[in-house]
Amino acid sequence: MSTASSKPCEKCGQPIAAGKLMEGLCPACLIGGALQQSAMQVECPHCRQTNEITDETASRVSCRNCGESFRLDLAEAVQILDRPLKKWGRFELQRILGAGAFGTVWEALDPSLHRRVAIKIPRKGHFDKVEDEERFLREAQIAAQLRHPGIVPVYETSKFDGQPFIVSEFVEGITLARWLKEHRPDFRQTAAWMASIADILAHAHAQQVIHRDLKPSNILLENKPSGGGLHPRLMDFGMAKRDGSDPTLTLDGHMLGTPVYMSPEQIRSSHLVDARADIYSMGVVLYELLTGELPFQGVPHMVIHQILHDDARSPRELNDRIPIDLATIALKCLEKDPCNRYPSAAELGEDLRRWLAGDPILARPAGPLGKTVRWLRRNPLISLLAALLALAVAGGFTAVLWQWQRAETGLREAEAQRQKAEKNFREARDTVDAFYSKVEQRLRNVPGLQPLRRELLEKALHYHRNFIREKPTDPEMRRALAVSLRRTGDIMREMGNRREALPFYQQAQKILDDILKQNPKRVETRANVAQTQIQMGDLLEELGQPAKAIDCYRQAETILQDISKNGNNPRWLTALGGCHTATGLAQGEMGRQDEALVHFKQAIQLHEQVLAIQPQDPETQYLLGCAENNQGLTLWQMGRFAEAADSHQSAIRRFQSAGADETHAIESAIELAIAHYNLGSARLAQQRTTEAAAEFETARQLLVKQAATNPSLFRCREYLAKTLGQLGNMELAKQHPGKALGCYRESCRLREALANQLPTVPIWKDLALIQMNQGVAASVVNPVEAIPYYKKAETTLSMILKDYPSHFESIELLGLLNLNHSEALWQIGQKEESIRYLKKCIGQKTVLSLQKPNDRKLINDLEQMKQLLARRTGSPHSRK
Amino acid sequence: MGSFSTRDSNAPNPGTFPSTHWSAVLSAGSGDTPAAHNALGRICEKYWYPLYVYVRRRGYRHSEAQDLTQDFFAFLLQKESLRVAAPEKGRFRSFLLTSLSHFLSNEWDRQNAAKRGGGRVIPLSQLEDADARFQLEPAQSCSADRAFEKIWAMTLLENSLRRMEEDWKKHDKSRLFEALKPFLMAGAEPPSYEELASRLGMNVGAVKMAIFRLRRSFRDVLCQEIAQTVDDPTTVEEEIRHFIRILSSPENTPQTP
Repeated sequence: MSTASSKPCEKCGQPIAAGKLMEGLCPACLIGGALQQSAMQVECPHCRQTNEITDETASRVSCRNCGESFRLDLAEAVQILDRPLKKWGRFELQRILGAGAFGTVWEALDPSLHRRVAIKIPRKGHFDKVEDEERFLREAQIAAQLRHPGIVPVYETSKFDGQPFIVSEFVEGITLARWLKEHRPDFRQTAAWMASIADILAHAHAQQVIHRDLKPSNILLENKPSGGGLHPRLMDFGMAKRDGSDPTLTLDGHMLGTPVYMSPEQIRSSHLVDARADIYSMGVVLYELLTGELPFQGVPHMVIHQILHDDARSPRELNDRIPIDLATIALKCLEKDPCNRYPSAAELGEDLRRWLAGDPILARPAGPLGKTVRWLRRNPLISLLAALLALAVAGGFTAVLWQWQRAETGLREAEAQRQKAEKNFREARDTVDAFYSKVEQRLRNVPGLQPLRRELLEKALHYHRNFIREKPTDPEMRRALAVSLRRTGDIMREMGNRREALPFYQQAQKILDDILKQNPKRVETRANVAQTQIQMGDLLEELGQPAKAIDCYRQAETILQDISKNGNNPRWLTALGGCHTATGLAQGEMGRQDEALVHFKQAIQLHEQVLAIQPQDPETQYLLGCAENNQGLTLWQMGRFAEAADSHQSAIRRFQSAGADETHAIESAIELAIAHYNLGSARLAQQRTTEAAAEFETARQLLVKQAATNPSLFRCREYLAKTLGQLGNMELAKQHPGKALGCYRESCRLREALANQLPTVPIWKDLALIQMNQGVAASVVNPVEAIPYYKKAETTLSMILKDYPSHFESIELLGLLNLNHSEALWQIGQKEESIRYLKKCIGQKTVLSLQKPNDRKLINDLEQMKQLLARRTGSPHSRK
Repeated sequence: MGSFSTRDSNAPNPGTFPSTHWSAVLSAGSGDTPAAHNALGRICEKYWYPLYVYVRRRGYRHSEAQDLTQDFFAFLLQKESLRVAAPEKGRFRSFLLTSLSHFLSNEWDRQNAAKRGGGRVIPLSQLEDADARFQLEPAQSCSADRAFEKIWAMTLLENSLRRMEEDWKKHDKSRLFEALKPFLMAGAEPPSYEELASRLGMNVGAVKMAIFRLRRSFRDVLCQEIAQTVDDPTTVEEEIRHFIRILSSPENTPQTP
């Protein structure tokens, strides 16, 4: 069959197919033919008037001229027309002008007005929500109000077959994107076009319309019949997809379009942009026209990172013939901070025209100092400390030790040398320490910087190991050794070698104990002991030994309390607060909610004390938010929902405040979302569903945004899955099973991915839960559809229970699942199976009631189920 | 989740577009409902040969390629492979190619699929013939991906032509179909309508009308075939253009020394 003979096609030169069916046919011409002919003209046998036939299945037609009816096979076929006749509403679609992530643009004929139009039809499924679609149409209507010769006018917006579409003027010309494939404009042409575009934008901005998606494919170059070359015109005003999430990324972090032309603020928060976002995009287009390259290139995630953090190379580095002024104008548009760009499109246009007229422009290039300052402002800790660390590790350490040893063996006059050595050593060590305590934590959540973080961690580890190998005897150096041992433990832990980390902590502890014996009053040493205990506690907690962890925390607490009792040193107060939060978490882990609450309260009090000393300190705000979040969760577990809600509300304010500081932005954003989720859960428990829904929605939007920019953040995706689950529950409660199912499905997809990545019991249990919920939602519409979901949930749960046969929550869930399963089976008439599942459920609830004999609800449920069973099997069971 | 998927595919479509199999599979979400399974099975049966060619072009011998293609379909139908969220899901063709290339590069999956066995999708006799067919394919300088796309387009054309042939046969018009088939090609016209008309025993107007009808129905059938493999009917034309590019790209011309 699909084979080719050696003879090429006469028309197109492609090989001609062989085989029975395709014998002698050229596949390329065959498929090309499918795009062409669709109409035919016939001559009426009565009046000789030509009629166009579009319905080839009709056997008789009536002449449009004389009205006589005639048989088609007897009519004189005049001509087969090469014209497709695909209809879209009243429009005849004629050819595709372009297709992209958004959808398709067609050239079409509007037969009612006899004019050519362009129709933009979004891809089916482009809009996640009805509101998005409505906004799309609304914005197109607003854009339709714009009247400017440089703006391609929108004629109408409408819907066909449930899909919205936009009809605009058909412009004879090509997009700048297409033009650029074969041409390069000269500098004057570039400036002239950009000045025209700036004027068009200025007009739109004056009407409060922001383009949001300015790029070469949205700039049409019109070839006006009057001549005068190509004139740029803009299309697609305000049509960029826009919701809480990143406009270019899907949940998985897949790119839908290109972020290249997008401003940093648009990437961060697409709904909070103003006209200056368009100026940024102008800068990218100008840069591209000048250099033939884009300011930032690479895979979308890399581009996003660069847009947010890097300065574009000067256009003149790529081509030194580019006029300095035009390069300066482009770079001014590309400033990260909107305040440093042109304040308006009009001013940008004026500067471009100044250049065209040979006048000096107003924009000033940023010097090297300005650039460094800008970079440092964006990455203050990272840049400074990473540089220092590299220095300290590379040269400092060896030199320091050498100086040290010389000082040791030297004479009294070497005292000065010794002091110098000590100072140098301390500097090196402080740098490494500062790196660990500050930079490393910042880096942890920064997308794209993980390799750098790992590299720095390894360097720090190398430093500490070298030091440990020296086995110093001097007390001061022994203390430093203990710190190094502890840091080594920290880094081991951070790199996932938890069990190997423990001996390092223990060695550190032993050395510190020795030093402490010699000088029990020294604050630094005691603080070190406390710190080591806290780290060891964290490690034990991670290793699933909360009781041992609490012992460590308690020792640390005692020491820190003692140190901080005479004064208000924020450092000790913060450490003590952290210690209480950790204790609270471990207590909660062991089911002691009352104890946990006491510790969270103390932590909050301590952090508030620090905040009184250092108002607005983002770190403290963040720690306070964490403590309050934990407190809220504990209150929720205890059924004190109103207090829980208060606590989460306060946490939300803390994270908002902490997130305003760039160094805490990412971690605060995720914790903020989680606080909203927690608040939603509390509101739900209070039965304030509207408020709950609003909180979940906020959490969802925040998380989608975070998950999009940094899909590797596990915690973020975990909470996104939870939030979607809750949103599904709320839709189900509102009797919207379809919407509920949508939420559940998305949540399920995320949970499956999470379960693959980290197969832990809670995550698997959550997966089973969402699988079951899908069944519940499906059963509202049709119980038959629910069964596969229930089966799936059953499989997931049985996998957990195989390894953890007494996992309480899984048994609890299995009971519920079996009940639901039984109900669905009953509804579809599979009575025997239904009763079998009901019996299973009763069995599971009985097991649970033995474990929790005081759980009234459980006992009640059990009793009701037994009654149900009795009713359904018809056997007598006394009603109480 | 059939109750929702049927709701989708029953939604009124613009007249020219049929409900699509692939979108039925996709909207079922997990591919493990019987309806989705059947829909997937049906389109797999139609398009197994391009996949076989791809496997061969990746350097496997006939017997290996036979097994791998079969295993791949078993994998596709059994494993919840449709859950893998990917933008290429919109087009069945791209989805298959991506899945197959992952499948081939993933020893684990392959062994697993082999172990699962059973569930043969492609009739064995057809697979036996595959080698003979493959031998007849022109030597190509293009990549395996490109070869896949090309054979896919050819398969698509063949499936469409076969449907039409059967249809015209039903109406006792096999001879007419054979005679007019060449005019399906873009811009093809008989050297003389009169000569053709007299050969077929028809008048010129009727021949023109028949060619017109043949072209219209070919276009419809082709669109329907494509629509079965995309999730969005508005992308059908885009697909046709894609295939035109694929079939007219210079890499497809046989290498002449």
